[in-house]
Amino acid sequence: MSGKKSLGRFLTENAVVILFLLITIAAIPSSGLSIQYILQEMITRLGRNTFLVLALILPIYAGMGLNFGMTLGAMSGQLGLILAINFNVGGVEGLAFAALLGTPVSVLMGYICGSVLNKAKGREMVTGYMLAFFINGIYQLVILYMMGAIFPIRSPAILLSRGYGIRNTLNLEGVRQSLDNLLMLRLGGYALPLATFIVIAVLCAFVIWFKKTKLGQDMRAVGHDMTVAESAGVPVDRTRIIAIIISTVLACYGQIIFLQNMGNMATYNAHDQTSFFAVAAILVGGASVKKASIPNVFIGVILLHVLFVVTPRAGQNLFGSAMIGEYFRQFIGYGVIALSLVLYAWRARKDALRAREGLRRASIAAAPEGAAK
Amino acid sequence: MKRIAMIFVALAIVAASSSFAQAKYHIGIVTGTVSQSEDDLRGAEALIKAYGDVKSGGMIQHITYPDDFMSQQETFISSVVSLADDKLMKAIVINQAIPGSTEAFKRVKAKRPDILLLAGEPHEDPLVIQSSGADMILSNDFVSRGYTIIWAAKQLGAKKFVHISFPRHMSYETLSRRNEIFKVACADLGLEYAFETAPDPTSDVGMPGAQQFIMEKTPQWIEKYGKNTAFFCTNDGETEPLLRQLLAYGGIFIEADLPSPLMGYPGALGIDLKAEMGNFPAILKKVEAAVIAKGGAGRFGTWAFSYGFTVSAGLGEFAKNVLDGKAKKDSLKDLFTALGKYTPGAKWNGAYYTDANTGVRAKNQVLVYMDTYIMGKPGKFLPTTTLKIPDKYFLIKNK
Amino acid sequence: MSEKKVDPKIAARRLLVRGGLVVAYVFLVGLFFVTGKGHTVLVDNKDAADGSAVGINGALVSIDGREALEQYPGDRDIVLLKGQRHRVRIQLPSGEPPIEMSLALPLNTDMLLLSIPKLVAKQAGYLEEFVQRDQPRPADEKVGDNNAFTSPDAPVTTPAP
Repeated sequence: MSGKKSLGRFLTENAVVILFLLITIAAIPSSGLSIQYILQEMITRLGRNTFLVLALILPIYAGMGLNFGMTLGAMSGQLGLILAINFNVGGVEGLAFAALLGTPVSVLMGYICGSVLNKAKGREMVTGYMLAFFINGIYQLVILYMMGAIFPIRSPAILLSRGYGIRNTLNLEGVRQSLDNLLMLRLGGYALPLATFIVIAVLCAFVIWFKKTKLGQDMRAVGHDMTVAESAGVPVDRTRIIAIIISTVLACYGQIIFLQNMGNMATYNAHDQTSFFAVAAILVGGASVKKASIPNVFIGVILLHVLFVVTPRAGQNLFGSAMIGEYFRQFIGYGVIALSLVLYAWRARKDALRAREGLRRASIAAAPEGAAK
Repeated sequence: MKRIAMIFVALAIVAASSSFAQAKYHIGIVTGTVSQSEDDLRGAEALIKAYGDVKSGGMIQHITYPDDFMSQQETFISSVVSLADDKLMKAIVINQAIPGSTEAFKRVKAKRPDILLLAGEPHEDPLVIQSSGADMILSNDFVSRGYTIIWAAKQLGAKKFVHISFPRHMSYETLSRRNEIFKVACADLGLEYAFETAPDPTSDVGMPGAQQFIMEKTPQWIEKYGKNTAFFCTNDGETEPLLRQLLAYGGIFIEADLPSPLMGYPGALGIDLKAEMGNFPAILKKVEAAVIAKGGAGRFGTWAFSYGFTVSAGLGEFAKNVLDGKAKKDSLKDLFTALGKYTPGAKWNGAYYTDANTGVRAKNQVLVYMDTYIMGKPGKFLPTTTLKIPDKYFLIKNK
Repeated sequence: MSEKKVDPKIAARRLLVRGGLVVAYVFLVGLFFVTGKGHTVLVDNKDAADGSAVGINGALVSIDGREALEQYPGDRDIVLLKGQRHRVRIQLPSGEPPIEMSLALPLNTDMLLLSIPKLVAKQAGYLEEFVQRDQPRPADEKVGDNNAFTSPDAPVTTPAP
């Protein structure tokens, strides 16, 4: 009986991952793409996206849900990149330059975001989402009207010829794939951007280490129960702000890594889907609003992106129209994400039930002992 | 769950067994969807009709990019690069070459230097797309048209010119520069210039919100500026409600940003063009009759052929000619021949793009435009392609 | 979170660490700026303004061993370089041994004009900062009427039935 139960439990806990895996595997042959292409694309996208997705872990750990406010960090990173392009600083130095300039901005953004989220406890996700829209407006104002008019911009290649405002699409020629190409390992027809993977590995190590520090333990306590943490002397608000600041700064670096691989930047839109895709990836990887681990990140990035690579062509080949291919990708991709949220709610209810049952049994068992004391 | 998977596997087997290759080479074409840019898509379908789909042994592999392409560059780039996964792929055409095309081309070039890369109507700045390794880039002539549109408006008796746009579009070098030329041309030709802001359809209001805004504002604008005012809108989706209201309340419309008889008119006039599909003289005739019926004779214009359709189909044709050895990839004449196949009798003009800042003349970007056709009884072509445009307009860049 | 009294020693150390971080930050920004600074070089093969050097027909110009640019009179190509010291190599069509020399770009410039004719003629001022202003259209390009074209009245081959 218990074997059957644990299998059922395994299935419900990993339903999203399993479903995604099945759809992806089914779509691969009909996409007509070669396995080599899919694998290479998977490697590229792991390098490109993992850092951004990792930025989500700490806020989940601190009980703040999925940090849609990471868009703020992405915008800071873009600001840093715009300045690096403006001063014509290229190569890995250019990326480091952009990251350094983006850091104070993202710390400030993280602080603002964290403070606002502290005023909206329990509704962090939707608040963060809206806050990103708000800051997006300010970002556009700064980039489109103030740059060149108030802040001097020296590079005519990024300034609109009317004299103020940054161009719609920036060519990141100078820094394009500089991190990826720093240590490119070519292995049997595949290109592995080792330097990018090393950076990601360092971040993973940081996350693991951070969880063990005093601050990390505080975060865990806050994530578990804010009132208990408060009465235990943990500065709840401060801890939550720090979690968001770290997440925002990481998102800033993540966006820089993402964009250096992309090679160009949609000045006004590149950050639009950043948080959405990162959140989708971590959910697909089996994380939930309350629980996320590093394996969730990697599984999620691989599954989500392989699906994104194969479904457009699969849909097109199955239904015979180019347009349907694109809609098919959106339908499948977002459908599964919605499903994963629904499944999460369902699972949370089941978990609550199970926990209550377990508690009841434990309390019955523990009662005499407790009474004796 | 399992059942879904089984259906997928079954469908996959069916699809795999029906695909086989006969054509010597394949041409990939990337366009928007029906909701984003129908003309471009129809042009690609015309190519499929002529040369067959890759899936059924033909030559053309057609894919589309997402509607919210600005935020989905990753998807767009990888789907273009996935075309290069096909060993027989010898040419890729993107129309319109939305942001990300440069990067997509660079990636294709790195992987498969033998593939011919063609771009229609790039959204990226000229110098950016030119650096992509594209073999030929085709744009509408945003420099010349900055003058010809105002000139045409004057011919129709317009006293004022209203430019409708929004910040994102004004951050495009091409649109921004054309707007500056509009201003100067208006001053020189004695028209009053005005700018009106509309919402961005790719923003949170979406296309319906933007169209609603235009529906509500246009009558007010006509009240404000008078009926002898020419309106110009940089967004294709907003053109339809604009036309509808101009037809109802008066006003002048020279041509759309990417002119076509199909641009806005069918929706604004509520006419069904199924029977005329792909036959532009017939489409134009029907649109013209409807415009006259609404009292718009002599006040509404377009290009006689769809620009988007012609660019999709024409660039595909050009790619085929180059691959067959019948055309040279850097010959303007061969390019015009390919485009001309889809626009019988139309007058074109074109030139290589010269950057106003650096004086660098592009070897791979061509700007083109057609004569403007003003609908009426009888309709007439305004000879914009033979118009002498003063040199100074080519040097305008900022205020 | 009540205010706690901080040991002055710790406070001083904290200040020191923070100050050090700021210094390190500024130093790193400066370091990356200098080492990563890129320059846009316009490789130009136009006649000198005073006519003292004329464009070379079919010069092959290679910078830092990259793929050579093939240049004809009036051509102007864009090259992106990182750092301040570079090598340029020019192969003339006459088949003489190629000219090789090193270029030192000033740090605070974004765009430079490298005149190949002047360099080959060993004139001073072959490398100068390029200030963007209105550039005349190439002389061989006429306005408006140059490429007018009328499509043949060929039937469209792909009308819908």
